[in-house]
Amino acid sequence: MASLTEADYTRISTTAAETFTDAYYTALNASRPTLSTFYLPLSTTSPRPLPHISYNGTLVPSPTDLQTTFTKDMPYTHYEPQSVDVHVLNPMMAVLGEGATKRERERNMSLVVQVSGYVRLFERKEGVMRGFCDSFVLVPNEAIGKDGQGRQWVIQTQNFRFVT
Amino acid sequence: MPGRGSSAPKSAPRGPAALRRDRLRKDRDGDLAMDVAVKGRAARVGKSSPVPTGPRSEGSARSSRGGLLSTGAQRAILKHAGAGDIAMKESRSSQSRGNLELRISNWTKNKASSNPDGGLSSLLSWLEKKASTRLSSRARTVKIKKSRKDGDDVVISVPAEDVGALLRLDGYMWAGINVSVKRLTGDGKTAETNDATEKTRNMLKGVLERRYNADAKLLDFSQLASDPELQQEAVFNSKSTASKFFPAMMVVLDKAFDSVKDRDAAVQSVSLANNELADLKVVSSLSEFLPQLKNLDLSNNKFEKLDQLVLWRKRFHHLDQLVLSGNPIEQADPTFATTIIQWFPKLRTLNGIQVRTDEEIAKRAEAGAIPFPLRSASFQDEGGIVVEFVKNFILGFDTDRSALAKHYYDDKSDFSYAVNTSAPRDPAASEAEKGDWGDYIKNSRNLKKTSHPGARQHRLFRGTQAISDVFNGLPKTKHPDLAAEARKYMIEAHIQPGVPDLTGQSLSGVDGFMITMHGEFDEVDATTGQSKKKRSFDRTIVIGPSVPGSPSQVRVVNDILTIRAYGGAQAFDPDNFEDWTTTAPPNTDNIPQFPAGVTLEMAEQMVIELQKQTRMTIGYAKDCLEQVSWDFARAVQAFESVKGNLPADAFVAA
Repeated sequence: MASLTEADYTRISTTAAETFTDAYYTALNASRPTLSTFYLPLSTTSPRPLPHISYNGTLVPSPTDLQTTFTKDMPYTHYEPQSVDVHVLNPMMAVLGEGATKRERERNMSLVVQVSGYVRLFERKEGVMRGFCDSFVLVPNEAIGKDGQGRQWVIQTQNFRFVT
Repeated sequence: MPGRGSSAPKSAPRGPAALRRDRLRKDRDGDLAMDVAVKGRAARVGKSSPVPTGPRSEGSARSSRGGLLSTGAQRAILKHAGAGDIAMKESRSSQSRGNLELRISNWTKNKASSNPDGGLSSLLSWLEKKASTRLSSRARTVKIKKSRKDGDDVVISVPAEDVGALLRLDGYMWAGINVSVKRLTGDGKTAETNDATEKTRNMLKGVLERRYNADAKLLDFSQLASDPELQQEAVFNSKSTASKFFPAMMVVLDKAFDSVKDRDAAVQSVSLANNELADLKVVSSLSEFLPQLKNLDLSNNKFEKLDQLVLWRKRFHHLDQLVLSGNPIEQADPTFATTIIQWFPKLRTLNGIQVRTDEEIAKRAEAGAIPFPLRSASFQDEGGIVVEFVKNFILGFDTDRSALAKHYYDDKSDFSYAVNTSAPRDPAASEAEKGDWGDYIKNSRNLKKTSHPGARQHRLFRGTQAISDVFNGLPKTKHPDLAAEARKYMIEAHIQPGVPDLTGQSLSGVDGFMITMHGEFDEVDATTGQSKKKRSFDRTIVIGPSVPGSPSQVRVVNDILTIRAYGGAQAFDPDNFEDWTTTAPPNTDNIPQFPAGVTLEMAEQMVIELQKQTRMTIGYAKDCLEQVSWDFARAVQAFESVKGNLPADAFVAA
């Protein structure tokens, strides 16, 4: 079974980044109760708690906490990613046997995504505008259904900052 | 800010208007104070009438008053007062209901003596008015119940609770003379208060009352050094008393009110003009005792640099008007206004010029109301690896990019950059600069703008040589000094698992770091070295262990750079958490440096332990520990002293 080509890595990573950012920022704006599903399930067994979420310097203990804060306390937001870029962080997260399928190889990598954009707070047109930078490491969603439905990639670590 | 000055006419600056109003207003207290000529008054805050002067020291009437307090004793009292361990509030409850008699002497040679009653009724109404307290929660109108002449003196009868207020008038100037107000003891002789603490308290209270303008809600602390009463008390004769006087006066002020609300309602403006202040050390406590201040006049002092004002950076969250005219900083630092505006989020007027509109202020107020306030950097490191990398990286990018590429990048390192041409710009900037993205756009890998798979692949650069080449193709840069201008950066780091291990020891990857840097750089002309343009950048870098024999122990795995229009640095200033910062200077370093003997692991343990003991969130626990230089015992103390003031979100939900 041939390993992935550079073109494969580019296609998989850029498609994943685009699909992910489209869905994630839409959820921040409009379907906040689904937010926790964008994250790796909270892991207490790893040496350090994952996912790591840093939001303007606040370390958020779990995806549920983030989701609760957004659903309960966050006013209207309109996040607009203006620039997105992605790299493959680790092209082979696990050792795969010779017989691994192409799909298995395609889902054996981690990605670094950087987003630069703005968010309007409080109201759509006249609200306060702040620039932000959001950095993620995405990993394949292991909890994906047998039929391949659901989120393909989930957030393992995240660093968000207002930059203006 | 000069750039915004042109939009000022929207609403007239408040200073001059207030000035005109006050000129029309007569000095209602009847103080026959000399008008002291003061230069540069044009943009003063609030009341502009001359400083009311206190008791004059000339004449024998003062003899019973001078020298009561030795400098040493006074110092001790000021210390007590400063520490807040003497009761400052009027002890209303302990006062008897009956009337007490006071002897007023040395009043007959007054300017009103040609009146039929020799000026007596005028004297009594002045005493009533002057003694009526305004600078406290319960405004009290003093009534003199009875008065009788006793030779040249007048003996007045007043409710016991008003005695203190009247005694404070001893030595005050009325109608051209200094009147003497003394308590009558049982045998008709006047008695001195021997309680030095009481005396100092009364002195300070007197200064406050005298310098308070209830109509303007202004405390006028201008020209303190030439205040006759303070000179009399030799407050400024030694450095020690001079430095304790102001904090002590703040304590007296604080104790005069039953609630913070009363205090903030009564005092909305403070003038510290004409005090030869070169820094804020002596007066810094003002921001603790009057944090809600709206107007502040610092004109005609000796402030020369922003550093000398930094103690009040991000204090006074409601400051509306600030006057800094007549300070050397106006000439020494032409850009000071831009920084000052950032320090005070609600500042509308600086030196009489409008710097923000009402709408801008309203929006900023709302912006403060979202969760996730701006906190200082979240920064994980191990053995200083990240700090060293960041220092070398920024320096290397400015000075020798080929060497930088050889040092930290290898054949498996990836780099790409993207231009965000429409990113929000510096909110403090007066006008939008042109983008001029020509040098950058051809290799920009912004996926929103680059859809062709081939372009996406070619704009990802792999390997030392390719990265070195594309680095050198970018315009030359000069980044701010990481140590001296740390505020212009926001640099964070966290441990990133699953980083590829090139030694092949661990096939599933090892721990590395993800570093996010936000900051700015000057684009410089390669031949002249002149700065052409200021831009902002965001850089996300993953580093991991390098293979043995590499020039550095770490290697760059991924380096993603976004370049955007200059966005300012104000988002990198943490929001103020007043609770921790009563005395500590603001943390100017975004890179946490633990004190000697404290490792990252110890610090993490301390955060966890503090969180356990206090139920504070991780963020608050960390902030708290940072404020006390990672001294766990002091962190617990700090928590105990402020826990009542912490917002609910400081605690982990039950």
